[in-house]
Amino acid sequence: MRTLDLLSLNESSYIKEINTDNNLKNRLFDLGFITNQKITCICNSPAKNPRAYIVMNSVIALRNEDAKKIIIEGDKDGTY
Amino acid sequence: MGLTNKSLNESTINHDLSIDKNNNEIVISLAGNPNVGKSSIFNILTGMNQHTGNWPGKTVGNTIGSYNYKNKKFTIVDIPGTYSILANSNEELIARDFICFSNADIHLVVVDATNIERNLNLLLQILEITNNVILCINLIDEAKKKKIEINVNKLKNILNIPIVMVSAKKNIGINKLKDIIYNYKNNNDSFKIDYGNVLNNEIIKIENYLNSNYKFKINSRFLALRLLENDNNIYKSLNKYLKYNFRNDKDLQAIIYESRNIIETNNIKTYTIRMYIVSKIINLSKDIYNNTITSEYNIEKNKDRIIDNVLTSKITGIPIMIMMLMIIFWLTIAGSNYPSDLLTNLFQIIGNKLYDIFNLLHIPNVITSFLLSGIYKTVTWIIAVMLPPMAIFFPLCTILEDLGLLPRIAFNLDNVFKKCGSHGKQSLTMCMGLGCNACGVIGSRIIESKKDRYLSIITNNFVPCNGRFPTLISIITMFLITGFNNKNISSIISTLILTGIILLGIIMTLLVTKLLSKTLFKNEKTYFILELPPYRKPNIIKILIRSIFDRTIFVLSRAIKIAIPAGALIWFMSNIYINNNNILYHLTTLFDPIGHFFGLDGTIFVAFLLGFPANEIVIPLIIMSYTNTTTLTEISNLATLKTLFVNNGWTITTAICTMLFCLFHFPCGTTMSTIKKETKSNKITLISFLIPTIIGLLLCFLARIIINTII
Repeated sequence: MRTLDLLSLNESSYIKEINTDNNLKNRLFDLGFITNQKITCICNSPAKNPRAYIVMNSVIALRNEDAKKIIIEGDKDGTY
Repeated sequence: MGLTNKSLNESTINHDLSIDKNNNEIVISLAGNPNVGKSSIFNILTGMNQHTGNWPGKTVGNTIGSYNYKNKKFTIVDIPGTYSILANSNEELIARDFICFSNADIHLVVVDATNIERNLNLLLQILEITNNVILCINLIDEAKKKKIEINVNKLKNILNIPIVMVSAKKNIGINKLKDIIYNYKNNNDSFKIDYGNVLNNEIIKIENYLNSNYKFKINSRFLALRLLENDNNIYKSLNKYLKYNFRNDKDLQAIIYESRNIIETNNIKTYTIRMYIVSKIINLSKDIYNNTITSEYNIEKNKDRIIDNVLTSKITGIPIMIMMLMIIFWLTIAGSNYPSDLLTNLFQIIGNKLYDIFNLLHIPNVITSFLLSGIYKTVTWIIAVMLPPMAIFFPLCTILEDLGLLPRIAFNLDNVFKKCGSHGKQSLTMCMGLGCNACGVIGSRIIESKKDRYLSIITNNFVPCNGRFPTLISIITMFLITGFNNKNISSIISTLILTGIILLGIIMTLLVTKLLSKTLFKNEKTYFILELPPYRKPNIIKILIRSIFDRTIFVLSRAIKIAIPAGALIWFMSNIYINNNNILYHLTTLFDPIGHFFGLDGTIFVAFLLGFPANEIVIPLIIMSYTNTTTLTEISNLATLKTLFVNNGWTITTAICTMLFCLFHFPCGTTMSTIKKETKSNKITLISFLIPTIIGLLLCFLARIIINTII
């Protein structure tokens, strides 16, 4: 169990829990951030914050402070 | 990135969301996720040139268009692209209210064939509201390339609605789409999502009450769900559009209260009902997707990722962005030189001929002078100086947009903006500001938090718009790059200087943003969440046609509309005499001390004041005021113009101060009224006026002192 901001570049894992405020949580839901969804970090911005992730076949950028509130679980290959 | 007549025209929808229509006219709403090509479908159906761009949030507000097919009229309303319509944001609220409360007959939902899994979420939410949905799967050419196969028949059976496969870009399936819309018959089968026994039971209780006590077209199941999750917006909208006040319906409230209690005892916390509902919908989307679509496409291995790595890398990311900006400026400056000269000469010749003709016809001197020196000169200057750079700049920017580069800019810069207390999406509104500041202000709607949006609106004017470019470029060419005989070298140096000016504007934006976020605005919790769309190959011919015939012509015609009265006003001011001197002379003399104090002169100062309706007319106003004769003065090129300016006391100090004031002064009339409209706040409008003006005057004063000490 760790948080999304700790996912390294090109690594995959699975979303377990989203603990952001409701507003952001709703937005994340709409973009496909749901429990057991596979997530891969694919891109850093020059400051390494925000970072971009692949979720449900789209690339979504998130700040690390928000990614910190998303719990992920799963091994390096993205399999349990 | 440009303002057009259409983007300003949002008034065609009535306050109660009903569209005026004839008996056999069909109203269609166009819904979909951001960036799925909704605007392209809208354009291809209506033939209207709504501006499209490859970044989420392009359409803000509803746009209306119509077309005729087989003697029937169809009106299309393009509602904002949203990921959901559960009203998490203003755009979503607009979209949902339109789908719920308008009198649209058909709801055309556009989804991206390469991303159906997530797009289905919105479709299912809309199907909960209405049965009259047609699914339009766009970008099928891209899906084919990415080896994504869609089992349309299976999908049709599951969803029970008509489905059309199209590619708006390649013009595939559009006639089929028109046919299906033409032949559409109301659908009576409603699509029900299973929310599990607990919720299903409570929904039915509320539904039964609603159905026996109220009469409306809205799906009662949808309404029951919103009431269950205690969605405040639905209460407001019901009150606004149907004049129902559900909060006052004690019986209904009692039922809802009881239902929420029952749900709570079944281990679903009431505050999580919304999430419970959303996750059910998303899981259903996933199921449907898995059952109907096979894909060999792997987004992680896509070549987009290689481009992303270059464009967002620590070493190359920001330099590439600045390089792109410079290339655009260079092409604009170098490319517009020749056509500008050509047009100036052409207008000069025509002007002289007109003068001869007027003389021949014995038209009184006053009228000749008014029409030719006053109006003709101002208008032709604007066309000659503005048309070529715009015709080059707009298409180039559109290419960047269509490629999908803009969201990457926001991604790269978010951290910088965050440190200044704002938001990466501000860089998107700044890019829009390069085209037109009023557009940048409207575009600020893409920023969710009010504080960030206001910061973006107030500072947008620090990016010089297309109306100010020609002023900057002509001053640079006249005063700052003297002594270069090689045209290529001088255009490269102009580019560097112009880029420097833009960077100065960007630095000022960041400084002011930081200052304001620390003082004027309370700290508001914000987050950055942005989709980086796939890179798409722009359709160059379409872009050229659209930029030139839509945006360029629009901006130009706006400038000319203002130039005619301004030219007339200036003519009157220079031809009405009081005490042996004309009004213009009195006015410029009055402002001369102030002007000189800030490194300008009275004429420049007055020109900026009179240029309030449109910045484009500042230079022509200065010219007219300097020449100030009743005959047409020959200004065939920038060299003669420079002589005119120098004879009127211009030095390098005047040039630099004029450029500084051009970059930093009050927003133009259109931008000001847009700010007022967007913020509904006199305070913000006033701040937007004062801050750039004060900064501009301060910088001009400092620049004058510094340059005069050095030289």
